[in-house]
Amino acid sequence: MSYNVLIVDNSMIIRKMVAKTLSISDLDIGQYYFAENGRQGLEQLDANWIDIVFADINMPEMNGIEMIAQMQKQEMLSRIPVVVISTERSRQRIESLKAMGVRAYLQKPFVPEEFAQVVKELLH
Amino acid sequence: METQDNNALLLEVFSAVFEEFAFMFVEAEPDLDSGDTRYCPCLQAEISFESRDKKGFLEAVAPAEVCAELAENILGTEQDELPEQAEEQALTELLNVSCGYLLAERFGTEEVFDLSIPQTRPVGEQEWSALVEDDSHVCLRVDESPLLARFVLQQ
Repeated sequence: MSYNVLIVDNSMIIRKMVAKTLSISDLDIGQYYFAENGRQGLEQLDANWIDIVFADINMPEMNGIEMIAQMQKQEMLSRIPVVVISTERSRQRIESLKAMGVRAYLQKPFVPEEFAQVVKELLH
Repeated sequence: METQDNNALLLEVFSAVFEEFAFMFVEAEPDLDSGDTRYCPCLQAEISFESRDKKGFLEAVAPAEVCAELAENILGTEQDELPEQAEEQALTELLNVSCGYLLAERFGTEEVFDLSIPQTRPVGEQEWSALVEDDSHVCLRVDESPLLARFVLQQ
């Protein structure tokens, strides 16, 4: 089974880095979808079948926290695992993200092996 | 004393982030010549942060060539394959990561900070020389090129 992924980050560098890390892992990735902010992320989620979301927090227009809150309001979207990839190190904020339903949190810059392991655990 | 502490912290943070992010190595550069403009054009990036009782900003100025090398190393591609604005985005992402690292090192992980979206702008020869001369920036060396950094807390 292949998995469709959505990568939401305002940095093109990080979008490419996440996609590249996934492409060199042994995960079977189907389609890659990209968004530059939370609003675009929600549009992609409305338009496509997505199996897992990778999202930054700090983005213009709609940040990652607002996007995740919107996802939690819709039953279908609330079931999609979300991995937050951010520079955030505040324990309080990381705990509040997990309380919102975020399944995993990775700090930038992430180690590819750790990244792949987290994704495998979520998808299998 | 605080300036020395900030400079040591900037060296520590940029060393760790450059190495982890792009396998590039940073050291202190105490003898940067303000008249040496062969590194221009440069890029300046800035990110601000704010918590309940603290605010400030982190700034980095680096040669565009170093930013391109940073983008190449992060993406694992050659310079002629770099997407448009890769240099600017590499520097802003580096600053974004460095700011998170620096705030945790300086204030711990209990405090919640909101970060701005980092902005970049080009820096020409005249401004580069003025920035090198101005002692509010710490001068670092990334591989063979200079990098200026500044951390300002505006309580």
